[in-house]
Amino acid sequence: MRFKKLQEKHRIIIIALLLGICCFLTYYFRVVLGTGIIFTHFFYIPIILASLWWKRKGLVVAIFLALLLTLSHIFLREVGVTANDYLRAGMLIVIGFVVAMLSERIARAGRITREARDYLDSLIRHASVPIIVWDPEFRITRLNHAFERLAGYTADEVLSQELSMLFPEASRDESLGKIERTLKGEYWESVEIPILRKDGNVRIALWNSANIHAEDGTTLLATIAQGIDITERKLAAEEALQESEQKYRRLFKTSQDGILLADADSGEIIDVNPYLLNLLECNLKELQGKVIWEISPFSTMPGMKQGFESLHREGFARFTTCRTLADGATVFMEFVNSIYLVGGRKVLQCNVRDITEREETMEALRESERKYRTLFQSIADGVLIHDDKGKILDANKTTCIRLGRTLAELKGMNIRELVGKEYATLVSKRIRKTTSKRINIFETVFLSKTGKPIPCEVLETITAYKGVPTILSVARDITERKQAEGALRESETKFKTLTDNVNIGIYRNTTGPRGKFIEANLAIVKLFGYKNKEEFLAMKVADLYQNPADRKKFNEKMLSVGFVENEELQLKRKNGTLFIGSVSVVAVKDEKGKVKYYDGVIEDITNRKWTEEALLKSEKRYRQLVELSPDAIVVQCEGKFVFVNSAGVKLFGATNYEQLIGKPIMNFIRPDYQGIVKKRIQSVKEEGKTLLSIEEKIIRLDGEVIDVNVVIAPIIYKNEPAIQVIIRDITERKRMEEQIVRASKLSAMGEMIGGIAHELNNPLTSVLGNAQLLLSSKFDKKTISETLGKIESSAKRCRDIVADLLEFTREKSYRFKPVNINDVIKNVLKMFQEQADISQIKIVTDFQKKLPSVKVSVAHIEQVFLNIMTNAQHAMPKRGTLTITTLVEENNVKIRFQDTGVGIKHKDLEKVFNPFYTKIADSKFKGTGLGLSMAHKIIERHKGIINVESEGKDKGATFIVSLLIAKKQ
Amino acid sequence: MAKDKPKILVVEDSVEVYDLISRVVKGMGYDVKVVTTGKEAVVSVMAKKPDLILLDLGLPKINGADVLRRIKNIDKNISVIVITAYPDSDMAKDAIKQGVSDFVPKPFDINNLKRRITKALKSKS
Repeated sequence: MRFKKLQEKHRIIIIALLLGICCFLTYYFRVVLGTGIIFTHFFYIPIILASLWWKRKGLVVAIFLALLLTLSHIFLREVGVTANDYLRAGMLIVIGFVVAMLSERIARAGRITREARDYLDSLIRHASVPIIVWDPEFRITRLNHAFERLAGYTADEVLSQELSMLFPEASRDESLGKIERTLKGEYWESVEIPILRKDGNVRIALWNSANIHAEDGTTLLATIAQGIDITERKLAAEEALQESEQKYRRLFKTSQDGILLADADSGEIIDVNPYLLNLLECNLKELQGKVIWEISPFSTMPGMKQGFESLHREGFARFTTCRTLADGATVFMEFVNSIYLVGGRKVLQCNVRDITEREETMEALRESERKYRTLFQSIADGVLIHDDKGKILDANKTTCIRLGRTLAELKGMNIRELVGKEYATLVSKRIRKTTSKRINIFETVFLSKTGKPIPCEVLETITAYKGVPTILSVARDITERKQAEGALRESETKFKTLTDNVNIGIYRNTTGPRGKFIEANLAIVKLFGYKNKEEFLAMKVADLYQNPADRKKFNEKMLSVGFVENEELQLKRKNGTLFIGSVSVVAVKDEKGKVKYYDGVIEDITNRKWTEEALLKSEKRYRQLVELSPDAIVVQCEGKFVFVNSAGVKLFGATNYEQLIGKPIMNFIRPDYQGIVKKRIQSVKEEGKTLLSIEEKIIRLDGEVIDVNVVIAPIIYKNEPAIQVIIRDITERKRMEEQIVRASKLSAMGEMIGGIAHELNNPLTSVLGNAQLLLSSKFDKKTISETLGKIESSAKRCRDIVADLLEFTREKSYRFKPVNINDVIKNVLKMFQEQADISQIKIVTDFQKKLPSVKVSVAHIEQVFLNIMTNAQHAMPKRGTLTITTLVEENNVKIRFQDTGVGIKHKDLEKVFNPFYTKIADSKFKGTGLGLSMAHKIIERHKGIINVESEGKDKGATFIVSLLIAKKQ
Repeated sequence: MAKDKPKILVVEDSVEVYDLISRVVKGMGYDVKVVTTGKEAVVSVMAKKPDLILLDLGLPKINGADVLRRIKNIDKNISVIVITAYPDSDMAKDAIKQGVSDFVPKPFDINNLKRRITKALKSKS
C-alpha cells in the first residue's frame, strides 16, 4: 500500500510537469510565435499516461488540455476558434476515453485471474485430502498440507525432487508405470498407489489424477493427483478376508450340504467338499479338472443339463434331481447354483443338498393335501375359509356354484358382502364366538350373485390355512327345509283361519245322552252364542237341543246308520233363542268298532228356512197375478211349454193346459216368423235382457192365425233357466188398422184415378179430335202433316203417362249397397245438366267431404234425385238457381235441393207427394204429377224421409231427403 | 162481317186441346180467343163479353169451378160450355150446380162439340 501511495505521488508529479510543459508550449506558440498552430502531439503523452493510471478519472487531463487548446485562442489571440482546433480538442478527449476504457478492462481481467489463482491456491493448500502436482519431468511442483501429513515430508523437502522418491522400492516401477500412462492422456480413477513416508512406513492411497494442458490444449504442463489414504481400511479388509476364508474353508469342509466349485466358463471342477464326495460316492482327484456336466454322476442325473443351461443363461439356478445310489436307494438332491467373481475369475458354485427325507415328508404332505382338497371340493355343503376379519381365503366348488361366483371373485371378498343385510352386522359377533369357543353353529342367509337368498345352517371351526389360524365355515343349504317349514306353518294357519272363519260349525263330541264336546271351532261357539270355546266345551250336548229328547233319537239314528246328512235339528242358543241347524255327522269308531265320538258340521239354516217360506208366498202371489193376467203368459224351457196361464190357454185355442204343456213352441208360430223368434230367444239367453215387444203371427190349435204382440224375458223357472213370454192378442187392433189403411188407400186411389183421367183425356182429346178433323174434310198436304204430327205427339204423351203409371205401380227390384251419395248426385247431374241448360238454371253444389256411406238401391235413388231436379226445373221455367247440399245430421245423410222457383203454398205442402198433384202453371213443363210421389215411395222403401219446405208462393222450395247412414260391418 | 161473327173464349191450359178446339171453332167460322188460366179468363170476360165460353175445369191455380163462379158473378147469363176430363169429379158437379149451358166430357167427338156450340149459341140468341 505504501508503495502504491508513493507511486501515486510520483504519478501526480509527472503529470503536473507534463501539463506545465503543455501550458508553456501553448504560450510560446500563441504569444511568442503568434501562430495559430500549436504542436499538439506532445499533448498526447500526459493524456495517455493519465488515462492508463487513473482510468476514467484520467479524462480530466484530456478535458483540461482540450479546453487549453480552444480557450488559448480566445484569450491569447483574440481570434475566433477554427474548426481545426475543435477537431483537435475532440481528438484529445476521444483518445483519452479510449485509453481509459482499455486500461479499465485490462485491470479487471488481471483482478479476476488473481482471484482465481488465490482461490485455487487456498483450496489446494487447505484441502483435507492429499494433493500433489508434478511436471512432465516427474518433478514435484506443488503439494498441500494433507500430502505433507501423508508423506511426513515438509513442502520444502520434496519440491523440485523426483516423484520416485515417494514410492517404496517394491512397487516403484509399477507406480512409475502408472504415472507414465498419465502422460499419454490417461486419468487415474481410484488407482491404488502406495506412498513411502519419510519415516520409512508405507501408506496406501487411492488416487485420481487430471492433466493440466497449456492453452494449445496439447502441451502438457502438469499433472495433478488427489488421493485418499486407505491404509487402515485396507488392512482391516484383508484381515476380514483372511478370517472369512478360514471360516469358508471350515464350512466347506464340514458343511452338511454338498458344495462344488467350478470354473464358470470352462466348467472344470475346482473343488468339491467331502460331503458331496460322499454323496456322489467318489474322491476329489477323480473330479478335479474335469468338466462338470460331463462327469458320470452328474450326466446320469435327470434335469442336470437343463439346470446348467439355465444357470449359464441367468447366472442362478435352483432345481431338484435324484440319484440312485449303488445300494439301490434313491437320493433326492436340490441344486442351488450361482456364478460369482473370485479374484476376477468367474466361479460356479453348486450347493447340493440331500433332500430325500424332506421329499418324502413333502410327498406325504402333498398326498394329505390332495385328499383334503378332494374332500374340500367334493363336499355337498358349501365350505369357506375366511380369516378373523371375514376376508375369504378359499372356497369349494359347491360354494362357488351356490353363490354363482368364481373362486377368483370370492377370494378377497368379505363374508359380509355375501350375506343378507341383517346378517352382515352379525358377522363380527359370530367370528368372535367362533374364535373363543372354537366351534359355532348358527343360521344365516347367503345371497347369490343374482341376489337370490340362500338360507343356510353354518358350522364354523378354527383351522389352520397355510399355517395361519383361520375359520373354516361349512354352510348347509336349508332352503328346502325352510320352505317346508314355511309351507307347514302356512298350511296350519290356513286351516285354522278356515275352521275359525267359516260360518259352518265344526265339532267333535262324545256319544250318548251325556255326550260332551271335545273339539269345536270358533264358528260353532259363535253360532250357539257362547263367549269362548271353554264355555262352550263345558256344555252337555243334550242341553243345546230345544227338546233334549231329540238328542236321544239322534243318538239312536247315529248308532244304527253311522252317519246323518243335512239333518235338521231344533236347537237353542245360550240366550235361549231357537234356531234350526242342519247337521252332517259321521261316527268315528275305534279299532274294535265301538263308536268313540261323532265328527260333525253344523250350519244355521233358520234364515234359509224363512227365506224358503217367503219365497213360497211370493211365488203364490206371482202365480195369482199370472193366472189373472188378461195377457197370455207362457214359460218355455228349451223350446217347450212348461207353463201357460189361463189367458194363454184361451189365446192358443186350447181347452186345458195339457194340450199345451210339453209341446214345442215353434209349432205355434207361423213359419215366416220362426226365424226372428229363434233369434230373439238366442239373444235373451246370451244377454239375459228383456226384449221389447214385436209383432208376430201365431197359429192357434184350431189353425186360425192371429196377430200378437210378444215380450220375452229370461226367468228362472223351477231352478232352470227359462224364458217368460207375454203374448197379447192384437188381431182386433190389426184388423182396424188394416181397415183404416184400406180406406185411405181407396181414397188415394180415387184421387189417383181422377188424376189419370184428367191427364190421359187431354192428349186423347187431341188424338181423337185431330183424327176426326182429318177425316171430315180435305186438307192440303201441309195441314195433314201438321195434324198428324199433333196426333203423334199427343199419343206419345199418352204412352208416357201410362209408362210412368206402370213405373209407379211396378216395383223394380231393389238392390241395396253402400254408396257415397255425393257420387250418386254427381251422376244424376250429368243426366240433368242438359235440361238445366235449356231452362238456364244455375246449379250450385255444396258437398260435405268424407260423407259416410249409405245403403241404397242406386237406380232408385237416382230416379228420386232426377225427379226432384226435374220438379225444380218445372218450378223455374225461366232462369233460377238449384242449390244441392249434402251434410251429416245425427245418423242421417241429408240431401237438400233448394230451388228459387214458384214455391208452394203452405196448405199445399202436404199434397206435394200425392200422385198427379201438380200446380206447375207452365204447360210447357207440365209433368205427369207422378215424379215426386214416386220419389216419396222410393225413399220410404229406404226407410228414409223426404220433406219439402217452402216459405210460400214465389219464394222457392227445398226438398230434403234423409237417408240412414249404413252401419259399419 | 166481323161484327156478326160470334166470339168464343176458350179457357184451356193444355196446348194440344186448345189447339184442336180453336181449329174446330175457327172452322165453324167464329172468332176464337184462347186463354190458359182462370185469371186470364176472368180478365178477358171483364174486358169484352164473349158469346160463348168453352171452359176446361182442370185448370192450374184457380180451378175451373172457381173460374166459372167468378165469370157468373160478372154476367149471370153468360153461356158456358164446360169441358172436363173427369165428369164424375166433385168439381164437375159443383160446376153443373152453378148452371152451365152444356157439358162436354173429354175426349170429345168434334162433331159433338160443334153441335153443342151451335146449340148453345142458338139458345142464347
